[in-house]
Amino acid sequence: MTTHVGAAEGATQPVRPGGAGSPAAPATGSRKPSRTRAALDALDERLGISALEYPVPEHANNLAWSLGGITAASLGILIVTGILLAQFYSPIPETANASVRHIVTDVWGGRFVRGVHFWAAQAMYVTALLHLMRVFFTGSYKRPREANYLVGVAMLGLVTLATFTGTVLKWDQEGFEALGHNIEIGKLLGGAGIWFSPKFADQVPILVRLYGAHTVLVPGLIIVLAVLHGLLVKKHKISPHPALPTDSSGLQAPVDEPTEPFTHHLRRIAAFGVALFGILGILAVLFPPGVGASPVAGIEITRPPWSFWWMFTLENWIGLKGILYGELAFFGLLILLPFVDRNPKRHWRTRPVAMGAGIAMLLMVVVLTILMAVTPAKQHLGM
Amino acid sequence: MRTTSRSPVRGTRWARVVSVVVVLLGSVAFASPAWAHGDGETEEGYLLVQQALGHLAHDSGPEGVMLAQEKIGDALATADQEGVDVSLVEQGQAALSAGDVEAGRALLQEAITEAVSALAPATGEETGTSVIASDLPGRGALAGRSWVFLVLSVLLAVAGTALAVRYRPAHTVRALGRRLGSTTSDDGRSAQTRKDAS
Repeated sequence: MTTHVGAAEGATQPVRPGGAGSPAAPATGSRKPSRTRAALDALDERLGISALEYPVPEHANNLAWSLGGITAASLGILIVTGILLAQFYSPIPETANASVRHIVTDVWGGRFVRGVHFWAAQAMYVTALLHLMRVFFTGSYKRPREANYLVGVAMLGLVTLATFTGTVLKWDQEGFEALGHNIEIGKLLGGAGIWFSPKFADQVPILVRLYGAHTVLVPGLIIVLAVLHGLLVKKHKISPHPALPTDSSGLQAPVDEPTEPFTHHLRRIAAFGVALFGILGILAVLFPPGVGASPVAGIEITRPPWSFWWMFTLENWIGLKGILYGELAFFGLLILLPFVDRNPKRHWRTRPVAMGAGIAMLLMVVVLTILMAVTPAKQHLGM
Repeated sequence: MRTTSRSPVRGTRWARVVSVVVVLLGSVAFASPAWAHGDGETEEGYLLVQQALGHLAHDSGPEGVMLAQEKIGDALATADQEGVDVSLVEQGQAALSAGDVEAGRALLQEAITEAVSALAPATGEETGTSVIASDLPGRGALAGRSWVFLVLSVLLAVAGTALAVRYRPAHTVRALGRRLGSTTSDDGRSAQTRKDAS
């Protein structure tokens, strides 16, 4: 069912009078509402769930406009599987690797849960990047949505950090080498990288601190920023589709574009989330992640996770600084984007400079990633 | 890009942004080089044996054995052999040379038993590793439980996809474009303007 914004814009009540969850739904005629309806109404009266039924333009329910929601679904899967894994994981250096092996080989369903957690992390990274690309190509970062775009960039940084800390927690050779790189980059940053220094709390294994970051700090910050992201989406409304007209301000979807309640958007995201969980489950069964050998200090023989490959090609070229320069350039350009690109137009055909720059950056990351895939691991630590 | 006249305030703001970026990059460019673990290659005999074991755990083929042999050579040559049974290291070296990687690994692991048992609980970036376990592969042949998870996952994937199709928007973007008029927001004529005109 679709409704026009013109009929409901500015209204605080749900778009669908009498629709599911509406507190104002009157009983038609003499029919008493069903028990389920009465229970839902009672719940809504107390929790105000129907406030989520505000109208959003119909194009918001497209797959491309739902990528942020799918990223959130990945986060939900990660949190649930992460809580399960945390029951059996030991974040102590002496036992961490063995506890992961125990999860995989001895805990009922442990291999599957760990597999889903691993693949959900890949999915979250990919969907967050795709969401960012959609925002870029449709100009959704432009006025008045610049601040919300920056919140999104911050979340992408946190997702990267979550991937890194998760890699270290396995406490195998790959994870230990990832940690070694980060400690070195922390040193390059001087005071700014002190948290990654083992000297910051020299009586505590850095693994324990990274475990705290992976399970509390990083997901906690992501959740806080995700709530802010959602609130700002509600405040500024869903950005107009560049292939469609806008309203008179040029900043919003037109009044005559059909709308649907936001709950329908959530419903479709939930459906995507169910499909995603199924796909992750299939991957977890068919391609479960392995556990590497116990870590040994002073050797460098593994490759980082694929999401870091482009940076490590830079490292192969110019040393450890390449990772830092690459990260700074990548996130620096993303942060500068809404300040530099003041072109109000949103359609890709009318933004040749931004499109050219964006595609060049994308190609560079892809080429650097492919180069890493065909290059054997090299020693950088201690060189 | 839209060209605008640059006000002095905006110019100052940009100058600040550029100077911050320059300072950040400059501090990175001129920072002192960082070294893993501070001092390059280790002199500790037990750690060199562990490194040999690490190479073998990662790659038990000729290249892994070659790298392990180098580390064993270093372990036998170093002055710090505390907690290392040198004769067992030599036996391990001989086993590797003879092509018996499993025996070589077992001997090398046994050679450092005393050293690793004397290690204090790990702090900082210490590995806490005493026994070098090999890679654990992802999976073998699918067992009964795996099939159950696989079937359930396929069902979820299908059900989720079906629901996503069922809940798809009533109109495609192209259909919405036809309904709202073919001009885009960038054509300089908004839907509201068209409505007003009509």
